[in-house]
Amino acid sequence: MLTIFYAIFLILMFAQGLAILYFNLYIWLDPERMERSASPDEYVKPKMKFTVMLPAYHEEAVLGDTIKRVAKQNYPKSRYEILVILQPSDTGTIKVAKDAIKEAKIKNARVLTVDPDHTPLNKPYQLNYALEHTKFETLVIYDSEDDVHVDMLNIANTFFAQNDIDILQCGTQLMNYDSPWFASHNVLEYFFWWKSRVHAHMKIGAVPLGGNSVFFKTDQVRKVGGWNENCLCEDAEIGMRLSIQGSKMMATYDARHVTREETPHTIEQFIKQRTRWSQGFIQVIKYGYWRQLDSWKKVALSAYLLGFPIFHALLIITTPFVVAAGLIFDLPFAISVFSFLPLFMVFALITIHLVGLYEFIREQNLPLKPQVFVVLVLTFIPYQIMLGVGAIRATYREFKGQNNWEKTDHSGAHRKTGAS
Amino acid sequence: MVANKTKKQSTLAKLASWFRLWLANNWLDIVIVSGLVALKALVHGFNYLGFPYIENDEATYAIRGLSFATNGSFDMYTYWYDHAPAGWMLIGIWFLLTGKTLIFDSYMSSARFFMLAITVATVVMTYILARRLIKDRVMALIITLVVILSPLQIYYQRRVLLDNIMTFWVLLSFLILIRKSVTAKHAFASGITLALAILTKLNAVFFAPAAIFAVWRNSHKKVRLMSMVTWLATVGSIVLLFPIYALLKGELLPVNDHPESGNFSKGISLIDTLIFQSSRGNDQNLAPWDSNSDFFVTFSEWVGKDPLFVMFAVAGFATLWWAKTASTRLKYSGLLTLAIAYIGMLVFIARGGVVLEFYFLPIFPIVIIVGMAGLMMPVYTKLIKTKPLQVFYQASVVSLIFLNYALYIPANPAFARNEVANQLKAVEWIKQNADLDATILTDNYATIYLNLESGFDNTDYNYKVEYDPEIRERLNNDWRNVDYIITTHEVLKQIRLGETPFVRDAFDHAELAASFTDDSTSFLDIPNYISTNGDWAQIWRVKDDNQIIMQDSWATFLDQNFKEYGQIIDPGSNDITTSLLQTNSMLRAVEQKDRRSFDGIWQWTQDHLQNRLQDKLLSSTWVKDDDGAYSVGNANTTSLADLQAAYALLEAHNVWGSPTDLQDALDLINDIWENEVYTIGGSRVLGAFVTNQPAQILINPSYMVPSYFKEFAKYDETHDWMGLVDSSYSALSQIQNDQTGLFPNWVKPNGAGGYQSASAEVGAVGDLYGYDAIRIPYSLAIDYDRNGDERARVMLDKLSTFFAEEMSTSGKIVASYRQDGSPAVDFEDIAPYAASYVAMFKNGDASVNESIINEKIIGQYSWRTGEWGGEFSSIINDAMLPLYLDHIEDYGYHENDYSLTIDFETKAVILLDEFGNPLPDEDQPDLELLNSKNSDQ
Repeated sequence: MLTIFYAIFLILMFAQGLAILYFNLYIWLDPERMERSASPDEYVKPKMKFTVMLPAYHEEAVLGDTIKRVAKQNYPKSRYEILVILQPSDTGTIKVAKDAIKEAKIKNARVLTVDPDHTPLNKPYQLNYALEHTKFETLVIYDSEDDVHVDMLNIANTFFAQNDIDILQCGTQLMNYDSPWFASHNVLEYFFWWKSRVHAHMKIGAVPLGGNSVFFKTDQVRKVGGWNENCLCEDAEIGMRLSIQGSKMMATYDARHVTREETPHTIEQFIKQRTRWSQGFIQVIKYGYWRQLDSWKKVALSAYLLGFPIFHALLIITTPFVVAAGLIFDLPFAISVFSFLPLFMVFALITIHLVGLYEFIREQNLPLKPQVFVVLVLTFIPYQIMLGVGAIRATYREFKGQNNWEKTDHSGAHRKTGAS
Repeated sequence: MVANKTKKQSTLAKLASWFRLWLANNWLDIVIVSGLVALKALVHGFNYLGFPYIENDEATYAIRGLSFATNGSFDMYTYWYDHAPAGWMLIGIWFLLTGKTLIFDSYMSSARFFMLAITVATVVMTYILARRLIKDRVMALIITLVVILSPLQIYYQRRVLLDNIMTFWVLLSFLILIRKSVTAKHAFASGITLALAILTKLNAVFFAPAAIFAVWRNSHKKVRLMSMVTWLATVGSIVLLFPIYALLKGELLPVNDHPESGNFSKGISLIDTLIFQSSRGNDQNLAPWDSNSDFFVTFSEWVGKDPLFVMFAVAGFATLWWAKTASTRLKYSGLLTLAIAYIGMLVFIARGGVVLEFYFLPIFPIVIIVGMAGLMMPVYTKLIKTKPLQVFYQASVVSLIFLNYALYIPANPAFARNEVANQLKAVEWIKQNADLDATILTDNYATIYLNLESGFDNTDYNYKVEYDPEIRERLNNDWRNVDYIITTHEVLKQIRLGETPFVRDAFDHAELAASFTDDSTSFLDIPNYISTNGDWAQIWRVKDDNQIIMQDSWATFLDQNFKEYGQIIDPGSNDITTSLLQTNSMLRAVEQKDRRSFDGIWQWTQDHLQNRLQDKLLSSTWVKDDDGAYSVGNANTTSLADLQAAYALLEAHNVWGSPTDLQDALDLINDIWENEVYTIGGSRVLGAFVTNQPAQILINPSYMVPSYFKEFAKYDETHDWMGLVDSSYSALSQIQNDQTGLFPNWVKPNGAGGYQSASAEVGAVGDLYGYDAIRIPYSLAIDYDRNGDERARVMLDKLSTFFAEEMSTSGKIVASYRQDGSPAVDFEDIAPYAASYVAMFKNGDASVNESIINEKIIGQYSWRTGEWGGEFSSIINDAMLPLYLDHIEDYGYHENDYSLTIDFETKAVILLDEFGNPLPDEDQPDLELLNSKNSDQ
């Protein structure tokens, strides 16, 4: 019995390791694929009209700058509008936004305040509200702390012109890789996800989209009925629904043009954020419609992805017992030998992470700090445990029916670290 | 559902159209490859089980594969980490897939067929690689033909060798890496295949630099780092499983620091094995160009067997220099990769350690590809400018290659000779003649047929018998428990190299039982353990205890008593030499088929004792005076010595066919009759020596050996030897005591046709049953044994009854008795016991017999020194007694003083005393250490 359990555990661990390795390396498996995902070298003539949505809540510290930056896009002002969507009670942020628009004399920006009586009052509702007020054929979402590249609209315009697509997911990247201690892991999560893994999802056709830097054809969003206001991961959730609908998606990641963000500052913040994402995924699982995806590959990938928080929670809880049992009980010899496979996977992952960190630093022209690599190795397991805590917490909260939004604070640390 | 179906069909349709396109684009290559595969199958498959002979290692890998397939273990014996296991795991999987011996009639034929399959794959990969690197279809074809037709390849690719499997993985690995764009995916796949190559044979690690170069060179700048890391991580983690396996088994760390326990309990260590193997042959420390180095010797072998291979290897360097400037018909980086690969392997081969002949296998296709590119360099670099000259040059090179093979191929024994037949006959002989539980030592070729296929559970690999504690324990650490040795090329080689002293002891005490050497091309010098080819086999049966004693005590006897070129001395009596000692030794020499000693002793005897002018009879003694000078002591004869000399010479003539021996014997026989046989009272009797005075005739009854007389009768018809037999028997029956059956040492004729005491002439001892008379039971036993003479049996019966009663009443038999049966002395001795035993060997009480054998006779013998002990240790024991053993049934009695152990560090054999402590250095055997070249261990 123990042997069978062990064998299953090892196979699962091994398969999981292989899957992560595959997804993380997906973009490196084909240099052409990597070329295709990079930004175009020349932009076509501006043609497409964009609505830039900036939903925010208590972001007095960063929103003003963000609006000003977005307004500086190298794109004809007549061909894009900026919608800042705020809650009426959030008067501080409303003031900051209006002041910024006035100060920078931005003509194509508007501040929208949503209906204060609507429940729930959250980001998906703000987006849905904006959706009713947009006129343009394409919309894009940015978060208030995002550093958006000035050529982003040109790039999107070119991608849409050259490819038959409905949705363009642009890369986002955490930048503050050297602190706090878990930052490098978080940075690499973004790096591998947006540079590599999201392409695998696109290829298969089951994509949990990101919360910002996503360009949608407006009619596509309308067709699926906008964002789900009850889901903690409205971005991934709409991605799944668009996948089912068969929207044509594409992703781009180019070190020069990624949307820059920052890592949560504290473990508490990080775990709260992770809990929200994990719980969002669990919610999507419970909705169940992902099973309507039209191929077994898509269903399997969705199940794997959405179920990952639960799997991770189980893994973190069981691993100590499994290791202990392995040391206490006599296991068949073959099992003992192969129990090293998960360990190999960990080593392989750490190696890949080191290489990834090196490539990230090089791509972004950041200073190479050797100690960061040491910290990365030393904190690999603690970080996994942190992820596990988030996952366990999410599972617990969802079980208890707690699904309020735990907000993450932003200070703009990435803007100081960023090279630009 | 419907949608799904259409989708499936469309996938199929897609596949089909892709296949059609593939066929259309590659049809010519496909035709060529099919032809090459067919040729390879023909060249390899024809007589693949008949040639070459089944080498020990081949069977070793098959056995291990079978162990893996049957119970998941890496060896039938204790696994020593001598090789990583992936190679035979693959063979094991092959066995499973093919239903073990369901399709093939034996494991060996199955394993050899697997080699055919795997080398066909190598051939195909060679063609693809060649096509990729040299954009010249004809050259790719010729390269592959060389790979198929080289005599080296034909010989070694048929062998079940790890190197053949390793070659497959290595080529696959390079095939994956040598492409336009390498990514992590290719790095992963080639990492797995190279790791498998390394786990098949560790020296594949020398291909790693070339592989890393290929990953670096062929990957896009953006994915390079990730690809290299992926490759390293993949290879590293898979190869790491091997030490982890050892770690979990507790067999990783060195065990050198264990105390000198003097037994086998030191355990096994992967690290120890690796250190031992990598140091093997290093002590010679010879440079590759030294003509005694393994590298030089092996390289010369290659030149002899296929000079083209060496030519290609040299031409390969031209590729390195010129390839970059060559025209676009060459893929520079790919060739560079292969060149690095083969140089890496050359560095390993030339490192100064052991080089085995088949080490060329993994680099062969690589060398041919790179070498062919080098040979074609004058064309590709446009050194030769005009088209006709280019064609002429290419045609010349190609013709040279095929002329070489055309000359060689028809004479290649691979297609006509059956080297395995003798080996299989030996196996068949064992099946017909040996018991299922017989202990049989052999190289692994027979282990697989006998042990694994035919239920001979105690048939084991001689090397494992030497070093595997479990088997040694089963044999009670005693080579005398071995029944048969299937002697082969490999068994002899290991003995010659001093690797298997235990096996050598067994073999040195064995007799040839069957020999299968028909059509063998091997030069065989068995006494010196020399064989030059493995296409033969012999069955040697280890002697029984008595025969072993006879052999060893003879060697010791010679060692202690043999002087000059054939004088036998008695150190106990002032180094006296007697004609009896000389002729007795002749009997033993001929019994041991020791011609050198026999000829020496007889020559010495003739030179020194055959000095009587009137006849050829032998003078009795040759004595040393106070100054140490020798001269004839007593020129008179001892008739028994003359009889023994004549009989030994006749036997020698029968064994070796020398006419002089026969003539010498006939001369002696004639002179014995003329001078030593007397007619007394109308009947003939043998006198003890020559005398002209009838009154002085003395008779020693023990000199009357009827079986000798009967033998002489066959050669000498002029004299009535058969009459002498009858009169001797009648004399003996008169002399034998009616009550006790005892005989006196000496008698003399009483003038009335009877005999009386000779005590007046020889003293009181003449009347006793003593050291002379004890020969009588022996000579009677010979006559009864050989000729079934009933008169002998009747006399033996009487003696036997007396001795059995003695044993049951007093519990012992003393060395001398009075004729009435009362003891004349109070000590016991071995020779009298042996005589008593011979007397009662057929009808005595079994338990009495055994106790005499175990305690009184063989119990007094030292297995270690070959000496006889006993109260009254005398040369009589040494000289005569062993011959008695021929007439004593073997009880398989082993005295517990022959024990030995092995020092695992130095692999030296150490003799132990009865308490298990090592004997002093001077008593240790002088054995070569096990540090020289072993097969493929």
